[in-house]
Amino acid sequence: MNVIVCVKQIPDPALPGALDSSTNTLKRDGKLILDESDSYGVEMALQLVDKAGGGEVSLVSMAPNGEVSGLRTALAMGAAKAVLVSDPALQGSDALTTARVLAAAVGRIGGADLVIAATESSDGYTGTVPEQLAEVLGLPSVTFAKHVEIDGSTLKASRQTEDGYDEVECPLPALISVTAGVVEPRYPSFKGIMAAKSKPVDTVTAGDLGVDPVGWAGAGQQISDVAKAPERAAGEIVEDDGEGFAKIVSFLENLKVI
Amino acid sequence: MRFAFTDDQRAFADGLHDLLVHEYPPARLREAWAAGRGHEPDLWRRLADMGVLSMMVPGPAGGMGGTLVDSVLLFQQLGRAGVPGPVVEHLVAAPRLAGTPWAGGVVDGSVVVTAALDVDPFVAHADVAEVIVTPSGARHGYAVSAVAGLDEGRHLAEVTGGTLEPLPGTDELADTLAVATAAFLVGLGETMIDLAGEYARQREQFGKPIGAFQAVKHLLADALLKVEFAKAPTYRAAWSLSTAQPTAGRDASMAKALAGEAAYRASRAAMQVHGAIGYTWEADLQLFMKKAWALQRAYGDARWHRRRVSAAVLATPR
Repeated sequence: MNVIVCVKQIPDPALPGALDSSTNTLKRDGKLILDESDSYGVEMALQLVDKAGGGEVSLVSMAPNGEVSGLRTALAMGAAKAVLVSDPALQGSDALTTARVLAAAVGRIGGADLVIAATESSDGYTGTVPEQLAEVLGLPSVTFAKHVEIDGSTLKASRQTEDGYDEVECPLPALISVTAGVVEPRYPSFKGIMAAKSKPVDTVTAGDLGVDPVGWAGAGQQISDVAKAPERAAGEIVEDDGEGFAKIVSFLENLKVI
Repeated sequence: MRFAFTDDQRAFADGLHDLLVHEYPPARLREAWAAGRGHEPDLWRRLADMGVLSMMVPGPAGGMGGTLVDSVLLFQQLGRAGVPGPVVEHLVAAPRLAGTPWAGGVVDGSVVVTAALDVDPFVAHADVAEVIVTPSGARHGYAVSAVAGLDEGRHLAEVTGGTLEPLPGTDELADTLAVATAAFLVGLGETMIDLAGEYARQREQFGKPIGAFQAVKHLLADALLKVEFAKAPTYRAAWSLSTAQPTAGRDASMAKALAGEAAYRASRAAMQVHGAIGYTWEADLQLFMKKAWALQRAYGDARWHRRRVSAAVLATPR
Protein backbone atom coordinates (compact mmCIF):
# COMPACT_ATOMS: atom_id res chain seq x y z
CA MET A 1 0.00 0.00 0.00
CA ASN A 2 1.37 3.38 -0.99
CA VAL A 3 0.35 6.47 0.92
CA ILE A 4 1.11 10.10 0.10
CA VAL A 5 0.96 12.61 2.92
CA CYS A 6 0.59 16.35 2.34
CA VAL A 7 2.80 18.16 4.81
CA LYS A 8 3.20 21.86 5.41
CA GLN A 9 6.39 23.43 6.68
CA ILE A 10 5.54 26.42 8.84
CA PRO A 11 7.39 29.06 10.90
CA ASP A 12 8.00 27.75 14.44
CA PRO A 13 4.81 28.61 16.41
CA ALA A 14 7.00 29.07 19.51
CA LEU A 15 8.60 32.12 17.89
CA PRO A 16 6.71 35.40 17.40
CA GLY A 17 5.29 35.50 13.86
CA ALA A 18 5.39 38.62 11.71
CA LEU A 19 3.51 39.89 8.68
CA ASP A 20 5.21 41.25 5.59
CA SER A 21 3.76 44.78 5.44
CA SER A 22 4.03 44.97 1.64
CA THR A 23 1.88 41.87 1.00
CA ASN A 24 0.07 41.40 4.36
CA THR A 25 1.13 37.74 4.29
CA LEU A 26 3.00 35.77 6.93
CA LYS A 27 6.79 36.09 6.74
CA ARG A 28 8.11 32.63 5.93
CA ASP A 29 11.75 33.38 5.15
CA GLY A 30 13.34 31.79 8.24
CA LYS A 31 13.74 28.14 9.14
CA LEU A 32 10.48 26.24 8.79
CA ILE A 33 9.40 23.22 10.81
CA LEU A 34 6.95 20.36 10.21
CA ASP A 35 3.44 21.51 11.12
CA GLU A 36 2.55 19.46 14.20
CA SER A 37 -0.94 18.78 12.81
CA ASP A 38 0.73 17.01 9.85
CA SER A 39 2.78 14.74 12.12
CA TYR A 40 -0.44 12.81 12.86
CA GLY A 41 -0.97 12.13 9.16
CA VAL A 42 2.62 10.97 8.75
CA GLU A 43 2.28 8.64 11.74
CA MET A 44 -1.03 7.25 10.50
CA ALA A 45 0.45 6.64 7.04
CA LEU A 46 3.44 4.81 8.54
CA GLN A 47 1.13 2.64 10.66
CA LEU A 48 -1.18 1.82 7.71
CA VAL A 49 1.74 0.85 5.45
CA ASP A 50 3.23 -1.21 8.26
CA LYS A 51 -0.08 -3.01 8.80
CA ALA A 52 -0.49 -3.61 5.06
CA GLY A 53 2.90 -5.33 5.12
CA GLY A 54 4.38 -3.42 2.19
CA GLY A 55 4.54 -0.20 0.23
CA GLU A 56 5.87 3.17 1.26
CA VAL A 57 4.98 6.61 2.53
CA SER A 58 5.80 9.61 0.33
CA LEU A 59 5.44 13.30 1.10
CA VAL A 60 4.36 16.31 -0.91
CA SER A 61 4.97 19.86 0.27
CA MET A 62 4.93 23.40 -1.05
CA ALA A 63 7.36 25.82 0.60
CA PRO A 64 9.46 28.89 -0.24
CA ASN A 65 13.28 28.92 -0.63
CA GLY A 66 13.62 25.16 -1.17
CA GLU A 67 13.01 24.65 2.55
CA VAL A 68 13.39 21.00 3.60
CA SER A 69 13.84 21.12 7.43
CA GLY A 70 10.24 20.07 8.09
CA LEU A 71 10.38 17.40 5.37
CA ARG A 72 13.53 15.95 6.96
CA THR A 73 11.63 15.54 10.22
CA ALA A 74 8.91 13.55 8.45
CA LEU A 75 11.54 11.54 6.53
CA ALA A 76 13.31 10.84 9.86
CA MET A 77 10.00 9.48 11.19
CA GLY A 78 10.09 6.92 8.38
CA ALA A 79 8.72 8.37 5.12
CA ALA A 80 10.66 7.17 2.07
CA LYS A 81 10.78 10.17 -0.26
CA ALA A 82 9.35 13.61 -0.95
CA VAL A 83 8.37 16.00 -3.70
CA LEU A 84 8.91 19.65 -2.75
CA VAL A 85 7.37 22.38 -4.87
CA SER A 86 9.36 25.55 -4.34
CA ASP A 87 8.98 28.50 -6.66
CA PRO A 88 9.04 32.27 -6.01
CA ALA A 89 6.04 32.50 -8.37
CA LEU A 90 3.95 30.65 -5.77
CA GLN A 91 4.07 33.59 -3.32
CA GLY A 92 0.48 34.72 -2.67
CA SER A 93 -1.15 31.47 -3.82
CA ASP A 94 -4.63 30.86 -2.40
CA ALA A 95 -6.02 27.56 -1.12
CA LEU A 96 -7.30 26.39 -4.51
CA THR A 97 -3.96 27.06 -6.23
CA THR A 98 -2.24 25.21 -3.38
CA ALA A 99 -4.59 22.26 -3.97
CA ARG A 100 -3.81 22.31 -7.75
CA VAL A 101 -0.08 22.36 -7.06
CA LEU A 102 -0.28 19.57 -4.48
CA ALA A 103 -2.47 17.52 -6.84
CA ALA A 104 0.19 17.82 -9.55
CA ALA A 105 2.85 16.80 -7.03
CA VAL A 106 0.75 13.79 -5.98
CA GLY A 107 0.47 12.91 -9.68
CA ARG A 108 4.24 13.21 -10.09
CA ILE A 109 4.76 10.51 -7.45
CA GLY A 110 1.80 8.49 -8.75
CA GLY A 111 0.35 5.17 -7.63
CA ALA A 112 -1.12 6.34 -4.33
CA ASP A 113 -3.77 4.17 -2.69
CA LEU A 114 -4.45 6.86 -0.14
CA VAL A 115 -3.68 10.57 0.23
CA ILE A 116 -3.63 11.95 3.78
CA ALA A 117 -3.81 15.58 4.88
CA ALA A 118 -4.40 17.35 8.18
CA THR A 119 -7.77 19.07 8.62
CA GLU A 120 -6.05 22.46 8.47
CA SER A 121 -2.61 24.00 8.83
CA SER A 122 -1.52 25.67 12.06
CA ASP A 123 -0.47 28.90 10.34
CA GLY A 124 -3.11 29.38 7.64
CA TYR A 125 -6.27 27.79 9.03
CA THR A 126 -8.29 27.88 5.82
CA GLY A 127 -9.17 24.20 6.29
CA THR A 128 -10.25 23.82 2.67
CA VAL A 129 -7.19 22.43 0.88
CA PRO A 130 -7.88 18.71 1.55
CA GLU A 131 -11.38 18.83 0.01
CA GLN A 132 -10.19 20.93 -2.95
CA LEU A 133 -7.30 18.52 -3.46
CA ALA A 134 -9.71 15.55 -3.51
CA GLU A 135 -11.85 17.34 -6.10
CA VAL A 136 -8.87 18.18 -8.32
CA LEU A 137 -7.60 14.59 -8.05
CA GLY A 138 -11.11 13.21 -8.62
CA LEU A 139 -10.93 11.12 -5.43
CA PRO A 140 -13.59 10.48 -2.79
CA SER A 141 -12.86 12.52 0.33
CA VAL A 142 -13.41 11.62 3.98
CA THR A 143 -12.82 14.54 6.32
CA PHE A 144 -12.12 14.72 10.06
CA ALA A 145 -11.15 11.05 10.30
CA LYS A 146 -10.33 10.07 13.85
CA HIS A 147 -9.94 6.35 13.23
CA VAL A 148 -9.01 4.66 9.96
CA GLU A 149 -8.86 1.05 8.85
CA ILE A 150 -8.14 -0.44 5.46
CA ASP A 151 -10.07 -3.56 4.45
CA GLY A 152 -8.90 -4.74 1.04
CA SER A 153 -9.75 -1.91 -1.31
CA THR A 154 -12.17 -0.26 1.11
CA LEU A 155 -11.42 2.48 3.59
CA LYS A 156 -13.41 2.46 6.83
CA ALA A 157 -13.24 5.58 8.93
CA SER A 158 -14.80 7.11 12.00
CA ARG A 159 -15.55 10.67 11.09
CA GLN A 160 -15.63 13.22 13.94
CA THR A 161 -18.84 15.26 14.13
CA GLU A 162 -20.14 17.76 16.67
CA ASP A 163 -22.29 15.13 18.35
CA GLY A 164 -20.11 12.05 18.08
CA TYR A 165 -18.84 10.30 15.00
CA ASP A 166 -20.09 8.82 11.75
CA GLU A 167 -18.88 5.46 10.49
CA VAL A 168 -18.18 5.83 6.79
CA GLU A 169 -16.77 3.64 4.05
CA CYS A 170 -15.37 4.52 0.67
CA PRO A 171 -13.42 2.77 -2.08
CA LEU A 172 -9.69 3.32 -2.50
CA PRO A 173 -7.94 5.32 -3.79
CA ALA A 174 -9.26 8.11 -1.59
CA LEU A 175 -8.23 11.21 0.33
CA ILE A 176 -8.71 11.61 4.06
CA SER A 177 -8.09 14.51 6.41
CA VAL A 178 -7.12 13.41 9.92
CA THR A 179 -7.72 15.26 13.17
CA ALA A 180 -4.97 16.05 15.69
CA GLY A 181 -4.49 13.40 18.35
CA VAL A 182 -5.73 10.60 16.09
CA VAL A 183 -2.49 8.66 16.69
CA GLU A 184 0.60 9.36 18.75
CA PRO A 185 3.32 10.63 16.39
CA ARG A 186 6.65 8.93 16.98
CA TYR A 187 9.78 10.89 17.83
CA PRO A 188 12.42 10.42 15.14
CA SER A 189 15.20 8.12 16.31
CA PHE A 190 18.83 9.13 15.85
CA LYS A 191 19.18 6.43 13.18
CA GLY A 192 16.09 7.87 11.46
CA ILE A 193 17.63 11.36 11.55
CA MET A 194 20.84 10.02 9.95
CA ALA A 195 18.92 8.04 7.31
CA ALA A 196 16.71 11.04 6.43
CA LYS A 197 19.71 12.95 5.10
CA SER A 198 20.12 10.55 2.19
CA LYS A 199 16.42 10.10 1.30
CA PRO A 200 15.43 11.64 -2.05
CA VAL A 201 13.70 15.04 -2.13
CA ASP A 202 12.61 15.92 -5.66
CA THR A 203 12.48 19.74 -5.81
CA VAL A 204 10.36 21.13 -8.65
CA THR A 205 8.74 24.43 -9.71
CA ALA A 206 5.09 25.09 -10.53
CA GLY A 207 6.18 25.27 -14.18
CA ASP A 208 7.74 21.79 -14.01
CA LEU A 209 4.35 20.52 -12.85
CA GLY A 210 2.50 22.46 -15.55
CA VAL A 211 0.36 24.42 -13.07
CA ASP A 212 -0.45 27.95 -14.23
CA PRO A 213 -1.42 30.60 -13.20
CA VAL A 214 -0.14 30.54 -9.62
CA GLY A 215 0.71 33.09 -6.92
CA TRP A 216 -1.14 36.39 -6.77
CA ALA A 217 -2.06 36.04 -10.45
CA GLY A 218 -3.92 32.79 -9.85
CA ALA A 219 -5.48 33.74 -6.55
CA GLY A 220 -9.22 34.27 -6.30
CA GLN A 221 -8.65 36.38 -3.19
CA GLN A 222 -6.92 39.59 -2.19
CA ILE A 223 -5.76 40.71 1.22
CA SER A 224 -7.00 44.31 1.30
CA ASP A 225 -6.30 45.13 4.94
CA VAL A 226 -5.08 43.65 8.19
CA ALA A 227 -6.37 44.97 11.51
CA LYS A 228 -5.85 44.02 15.12
CA ALA A 229 -8.64 41.97 16.71
CA PRO A 230 -10.80 44.20 18.91
CA GLU A 231 -10.03 43.88 22.61
CA ARG A 232 -12.61 42.06 24.65
CA ALA A 233 -15.08 44.38 26.34
CA ALA A 234 -14.99 44.38 30.14
CA GLY A 235 -17.55 42.08 31.75
CA GLU A 236 -20.25 43.19 34.15
CA ILE A 237 -19.37 42.97 37.83
CA VAL A 238 -22.29 42.16 40.13
CA GLU A 239 -22.00 42.98 43.85
CA ASP A 240 -23.73 40.14 45.68
CA ASP A 241 -26.15 41.72 48.16
CA GLY A 242 -27.89 38.41 48.75
CA GLU A 243 -29.83 38.67 45.46
CA GLY A 244 -26.88 38.10 43.13
CA PHE A 245 -28.29 34.73 42.01
CA ALA A 246 -31.35 36.47 40.48
CA LYS A 247 -29.08 38.56 38.27
CA ILE A 248 -27.25 35.43 37.11
CA VAL A 249 -30.56 33.73 36.34
CA SER A 250 -31.83 36.71 34.32
CA PHE A 251 -28.46 36.93 32.49
CA LEU A 252 -28.73 33.26 31.49
CA GLU A 253 -32.36 33.77 30.47
CA ASN A 254 -31.32 36.61 28.20
CA LEU A 255 -28.85 34.26 26.54
CA LYS A 256 -31.76 31.79 26.19
CA VAL A 257 -29.67 29.02 27.74
CA ILE A 258 -32.23 28.37 30.50
CA MET B 1 40.13 22.01 13.79
CA ARG B 2 36.42 22.49 13.96
CA PHE B 3 35.19 24.22 17.13
CA ALA B 4 31.45 24.01 16.56
CA PHE B 5 29.04 21.11 16.94
CA THR B 6 28.01 19.41 13.69
CA ASP B 7 24.50 19.58 12.27
CA ASP B 8 23.96 15.94 13.31
CA GLN B 9 25.03 16.60 16.89
CA ARG B 10 22.61 19.53 17.05
CA ALA B 11 19.82 17.54 15.40
CA PHE B 12 20.21 14.75 17.99
CA ALA B 13 20.10 17.27 20.84
CA ASP B 14 17.05 18.99 19.30
CA GLY B 15 15.30 15.63 18.90
CA LEU B 16 15.93 14.73 22.55
CA HIS B 17 14.87 18.23 23.65
CA ASP B 18 11.61 17.80 21.76
CA LEU B 19 10.94 14.44 23.43
CA LEU B 20 11.71 15.70 26.93
CA VAL B 21 9.76 18.96 26.65
CA HIS B 22 6.65 17.06 25.59
CA GLU B 23 6.95 13.82 27.52
CA TYR B 24 8.81 14.85 30.65
CA PRO B 25 7.68 18.24 31.99
CA PRO B 26 8.43 19.10 35.65
CA ALA B 27 4.97 17.83 36.64
CA ARG B 28 6.00 14.30 35.62
CA LEU B 29 9.28 14.67 37.51
CA ARG B 30 7.39 15.69 40.65
CA GLU B 31 5.10 12.64 40.28
CA ALA B 32 8.16 10.39 40.13
CA TRP B 33 9.62 12.02 43.24
CA ALA B 34 6.32 11.77 45.09
CA ALA B 35 6.04 8.09 44.24
CA GLY B 36 9.65 7.46 45.28
CA ARG B 37 10.48 6.30 41.73
CA GLY B 38 14.18 6.69 41.15
CA HIS B 39 13.80 5.41 37.59
CA GLU B 40 11.15 5.98 34.90
CA PRO B 41 10.58 2.82 32.81
CA ASP B 42 8.30 4.54 30.23
CA LEU B 43 10.73 7.35 29.56
CA TRP B 44 13.59 4.83 29.62
CA ARG B 45 11.96 2.87 26.78
CA ARG B 46 11.53 6.05 24.73
CA LEU B 47 15.17 7.00 25.33
CA ALA B 48 16.21 3.52 24.20
CA ASP B 49 14.01 3.71 21.07
CA MET B 50 15.44 7.09 20.15
CA GLY B 51 18.99 5.78 20.46
CA VAL B 52 20.00 7.93 23.43
CA LEU B 53 20.92 5.07 25.75
CA SER B 54 23.20 3.45 23.18
CA MET B 55 24.74 6.66 21.83
CA MET B 56 28.29 5.59 22.72
CA VAL B 57 27.88 1.87 21.96
CA PRO B 58 29.79 0.98 18.74
CA GLY B 59 27.74 0.59 15.56
CA PRO B 60 28.42 -3.15 15.05
CA ALA B 61 26.99 -3.77 18.55
CA GLY B 62 23.77 -1.98 17.57
CA GLY B 63 24.59 1.44 18.99
CA MET B 64 25.12 4.82 17.39
CA GLY B 65 28.91 4.63 17.65
CA GLY B 66 29.07 8.15 19.04
CA THR B 67 31.90 9.76 20.96
CA LEU B 68 31.66 11.83 24.12
CA VAL B 69 31.58 14.94 21.90
CA ASP B 70 28.50 13.48 20.16
CA SER B 71 26.90 12.85 23.56
CA VAL B 72 27.76 15.94 25.56
CA LEU B 73 24.77 17.97 24.33
CA LEU B 74 22.52 15.00 25.14
CA PHE B 75 23.74 14.99 28.76
CA GLN B 76 23.00 18.72 28.86
CA GLN B 77 19.44 18.15 27.60
CA LEU B 78 18.88 15.31 30.10
CA GLY B 79 20.03 17.73 32.80
CA ARG B 80 17.69 20.47 31.58
CA ALA B 81 14.79 18.11 32.19
CA GLY B 82 16.24 16.76 35.48
CA VAL B 83 15.67 13.21 34.23
CA PRO B 84 15.78 10.72 37.14
CA GLY B 85 17.41 7.31 37.00
CA PRO B 86 20.86 6.18 35.85
CA VAL B 87 20.82 7.94 32.46
CA VAL B 88 24.31 9.43 32.80
CA GLU B 89 25.76 6.24 34.25
CA HIS B 90 24.07 3.95 31.69
CA LEU B 91 25.23 5.99 28.69
CA VAL B 92 28.80 6.02 30.00
CA ALA B 93 28.88 2.37 31.11
CA ALA B 94 27.03 0.76 28.17
CA PRO B 95 29.95 0.70 25.66
CA ARG B 96 32.17 -0.91 28.30
CA LEU B 97 29.91 -3.98 28.43
CA ALA B 98 30.69 -5.03 24.83
CA GLY B 99 31.07 -8.80 24.58
CA THR B 100 29.31 -9.48 27.90
CA PRO B 101 25.87 -11.13 28.27
CA TRP B 102 24.42 -7.65 28.89
CA ALA B 103 25.65 -6.14 25.60
CA GLY B 104 22.31 -6.48 23.78
CA GLY B 105 20.17 -5.44 26.72
CA VAL B 106 22.02 -2.18 27.28
CA VAL B 107 21.23 -1.13 23.70
CA ASP B 108 17.47 -1.88 23.77
CA GLY B 109 17.23 -0.69 27.39
CA SER B 110 16.04 -4.03 28.81
CA VAL B 111 19.16 -4.13 30.98
CA VAL B 112 19.67 -1.08 33.22
CA VAL B 113 23.27 -0.35 34.14
CA THR B 114 24.70 2.07 36.63
CA ALA B 115 28.29 3.10 37.28
CA ALA B 116 30.33 4.00 40.33
CA LEU B 117 33.88 4.69 41.40
CA ASP B 118 35.58 2.08 43.58
CA VAL B 119 36.08 4.69 46.29
CA ASP B 120 32.37 5.59 46.49
CA PRO B 121 30.87 4.32 49.75
CA PHE B 122 27.39 4.29 48.21
CA VAL B 123 26.28 3.44 44.69
CA ALA B 124 23.67 5.59 42.95
CA HIS B 125 20.80 3.73 41.23
CA ALA B 126 22.03 0.30 42.42
CA ASP B 127 18.41 -0.48 43.37
CA VAL B 128 17.17 -0.24 39.77
CA ALA B 129 20.28 -1.48 37.96
CA GLU B 130 21.20 -5.05 37.11
CA VAL B 131 24.90 -4.35 36.74
CA ILE B 132 27.30 -1.83 38.30
CA VAL B 133 30.29 -0.87 36.15
CA THR B 134 33.28 0.37 38.16
CA PRO B 135 36.93 0.89 37.20
CA SER B 136 37.62 -2.63 38.47
CA GLY B 137 34.87 -4.34 36.44
CA ALA B 138 31.20 -5.27 36.23
CA ARG B 139 29.47 -6.24 39.45
CA HIS B 140 26.19 -8.17 39.46
CA GLY B 141 24.07 -10.36 41.71
CA TYR B 142 24.64 -8.02 44.65
CA ALA B 143 22.37 -7.05 47.56
CA VAL B 144 21.42 -3.43 48.24
CA SER B 145 20.39 -1.59 51.36
CA ALA B 146 18.97 1.88 50.80
CA VAL B 147 20.67 4.98 52.17
CA ALA B 148 18.77 8.29 52.50
CA GLY B 149 19.83 10.83 49.90
CA LEU B 150 18.94 14.35 48.86
CA ASP B 151 17.81 13.62 45.33
CA GLU B 152 14.67 11.46 45.03
CA GLY B 153 15.59 10.72 41.42
CA ARG B 154 18.95 9.29 42.45
CA HIS B 155 18.58 6.58 45.04
CA LEU B 156 21.73 5.70 46.95
CA ALA B 157 22.48 2.28 48.36
CA GLU B 158 25.15 0.32 50.16
CA VAL B 159 26.06 -2.65 48.00
CA THR B 160 27.23 -6.00 49.35
CA GLY B 161 28.19 -9.33 47.81
CA GLY B 162 27.79 -10.22 44.16
CA THR B 163 30.31 -11.21 41.52
CA LEU B 164 32.87 -8.94 39.90
CA GLU B 165 33.76 -9.63 36.26
CA PRO B 166 36.84 -7.80 34.99
CA LEU B 167 36.20 -5.59 31.97
CA PRO B 168 38.61 -4.23 29.41
CA GLY B 169 38.61 -0.49 28.83
CA THR B 170 37.32 0.96 32.09
CA ASP B 171 40.35 3.26 32.43
CA GLU B 172 38.58 6.50 31.57
CA LEU B 173 35.39 5.64 33.44
CA ALA B 174 35.93 8.19 36.21
CA ASP B 175 36.83 11.02 33.85
CA THR B 176 33.96 10.22 31.48
CA LEU B 177 31.48 10.16 34.36
CA ALA B 178 32.86 13.51 35.56
CA VAL B 179 32.43 15.16 32.14
CA ALA B 180 28.97 13.66 31.52
CA THR B 181 27.87 14.82 34.97
CA ALA B 182 29.36 18.26 34.29
CA ALA B 183 27.20 18.57 31.17
CA PHE B 184 24.14 17.39 33.12
CA LEU B 185 24.91 20.06 35.77
CA VAL B 186 25.14 22.73 33.06
CA GLY B 187 21.64 21.71 31.92
CA LEU B 188 20.33 21.84 35.49
CA GLY B 189 21.85 25.30 35.90
CA GLU B 190 20.15 26.53 32.73
CA THR B 191 16.77 25.28 33.91
CA MET B 192 17.11 26.81 37.37
CA ILE B 193 17.96 30.19 35.84
CA ASP B 194 15.02 29.86 33.42
CA LEU B 195 12.66 29.09 36.32
CA ALA B 196 13.98 32.03 38.34
CA GLY B 197 13.66 34.35 35.34
CA GLU B 198 10.09 33.25 34.79
CA TYR B 199 9.29 33.78 38.48
CA ALA B 200 10.96 37.23 38.49
CA ARG B 201 8.72 38.32 35.62
CA GLN B 202 5.57 37.28 37.51
CA ARG B 203 6.20 38.00 41.19
CA GLU B 204 5.45 41.64 42.03
CA GLN B 205 6.78 43.70 44.90
CA PHE B 206 6.61 47.50 45.38
CA GLY B 207 4.17 47.60 42.48
CA LYS B 208 6.34 45.98 39.81
CA PRO B 209 7.77 42.58 38.87
CA ILE B 210 10.86 41.85 40.97
CA GLY B 211 12.79 41.19 37.77
CA ALA B 212 12.66 44.95 37.13
CA PHE B 213 15.02 45.54 40.06
CA GLN B 214 18.70 45.73 39.21
CA ALA B 215 19.81 43.64 42.18
CA VAL B 216 17.66 40.72 41.00
CA LYS B 217 18.83 41.10 37.39
CA HIS B 218 22.49 41.11 38.45
CA LEU B 219 22.02 38.07 40.64
CA LEU B 220 20.67 36.04 37.73
CA ALA B 221 23.11 37.52 35.19
CA ASP B 222 26.07 36.50 37.38
CA ALA B 223 24.70 32.97 37.72
CA LEU B 224 24.10 32.71 33.96
CA LEU B 225 27.67 33.89 33.36
CA LYS B 226 28.99 31.03 35.51
CA VAL B 227 26.86 28.47 33.67
CA GLU B 228 27.87 29.81 30.24
CA PHE B 229 31.55 29.82 31.27
CA ALA B 230 31.28 26.20 32.36
CA LYS B 231 30.08 25.12 28.90
CA ALA B 232 33.33 25.61 26.95
CA PRO B 233 35.53 23.65 29.43
CA THR B 234 32.89 20.87 29.47
CA TYR B 235 32.84 20.61 25.67
CA ARG B 236 36.62 20.82 25.61
CA ALA B 237 36.93 17.99 28.12
CA ALA B 238 34.56 15.87 26.03
CA TRP B 239 36.83 16.45 23.02
CA SER B 240 39.99 15.67 25.01
CA LEU B 241 38.55 12.35 26.17
CA SER B 242 37.12 11.49 22.73
CA THR B 243 40.50 12.04 21.10
CA ALA B 244 42.65 10.61 23.94
CA GLN B 245 44.53 13.83 24.60
CA PRO B 246 47.26 13.68 27.26
CA THR B 247 45.43 16.51 29.10
CA ALA B 248 42.12 14.58 29.27
CA GLY B 249 42.28 14.07 33.05
CA ARG B 250 43.05 17.70 33.77
CA ASP B 251 40.35 18.88 31.36
CA ALA B 252 37.74 16.56 32.86
CA SER B 253 38.54 17.88 36.32
CA MET B 254 38.33 21.49 35.15
CA ALA B 255 34.90 20.80 33.62
CA LYS B 256 33.48 19.06 36.68
CA ALA B 257 34.80 21.72 39.08
CA LEU B 258 33.43 24.64 37.04
CA ALA B 259 30.09 23.02 36.17
CA GLY B 260 29.49 21.94 39.78
CA GLU B 261 30.19 25.43 41.06
CA ALA B 262 28.08 27.02 38.31
CA ALA B 263 25.07 24.82 39.06
CA TYR B 264 25.49 25.55 42.77
CA ARG B 265 25.64 29.29 42.10
CA ALA B 266 22.56 29.00 39.87
CA SER B 267 20.70 27.14 42.63
CA ARG B 268 21.59 29.84 45.21
CA ALA B 269 20.55 32.67 42.91
CA ALA B 270 17.33 30.97 41.83
CA MET B 271 16.49 30.15 45.45
CA GLN B 272 17.04 33.76 46.51
CA VAL B 273 14.86 35.07 43.66
CA HIS B 274 12.08 32.66 44.60
CA GLY B 275 12.29 33.31 48.33
CA ALA B 276 11.13 30.58 50.69
CA ILE B 277 8.57 29.30 48.18
CA GLY B 278 11.48 27.93 46.10
CA TYR B 279 12.21 25.33 48.74
CA THR B 280 8.66 24.07 49.00
CA TRP B 281 7.55 20.80 47.49
CA GLU B 282 5.15 22.63 45.14
CA ALA B 283 7.85 24.75 43.50
CA ASP B 284 9.58 23.18 40.48
CA LEU B 285 12.88 24.73 41.56
CA GLN B 286 13.47 22.31 44.43
CA LEU B 287 13.48 19.30 42.07
CA PHE B 288 16.37 20.69 40.06
CA MET B 289 18.14 22.31 43.01
CA LYS B 290 18.42 19.13 45.07
CA LYS B 291 19.63 17.16 42.06
CA ALA B 292 22.31 19.81 41.46
CA TRP B 293 23.44 19.61 45.09
CA ALA B 294 23.72 15.82 44.87
CA LEU B 295 25.56 15.83 41.55
CA GLN B 296 28.03 18.58 42.41
CA ARG B 297 29.46 16.13 44.96
CA ALA B 298 29.21 13.03 42.77
CA TYR B 299 32.31 11.63 41.00
CA GLY B 300 34.56 14.13 42.80
CA ASP B 301 33.53 17.51 44.18
CA ALA B 302 34.90 20.84 43.03
CA ARG B 303 37.62 20.87 45.69
CA TRP B 304 38.95 17.46 44.71
CA HIS B 305 38.90 18.30 41.00
CA ARG B 306 40.59 21.69 41.57
CA ARG B 307 43.45 19.96 43.38
CA ARG B 308 43.81 17.61 40.46
CA VAL B 309 43.94 20.54 38.03
CA SER B 310 46.53 22.34 40.13
CA ALA B 311 48.68 19.21 40.44
CA ALA B 312 48.51 18.74 36.64
CA VAL B 313 49.36 22.38 35.93
CA LEU B 314 52.25 22.53 38.43
CA ALA B 315 53.69 19.28 37.10
CA THR B 316 53.86 20.67 33.56
CA PRO B 317 57.47 21.71 32.79
CA ARG B 318 57.74 25.39 31.87
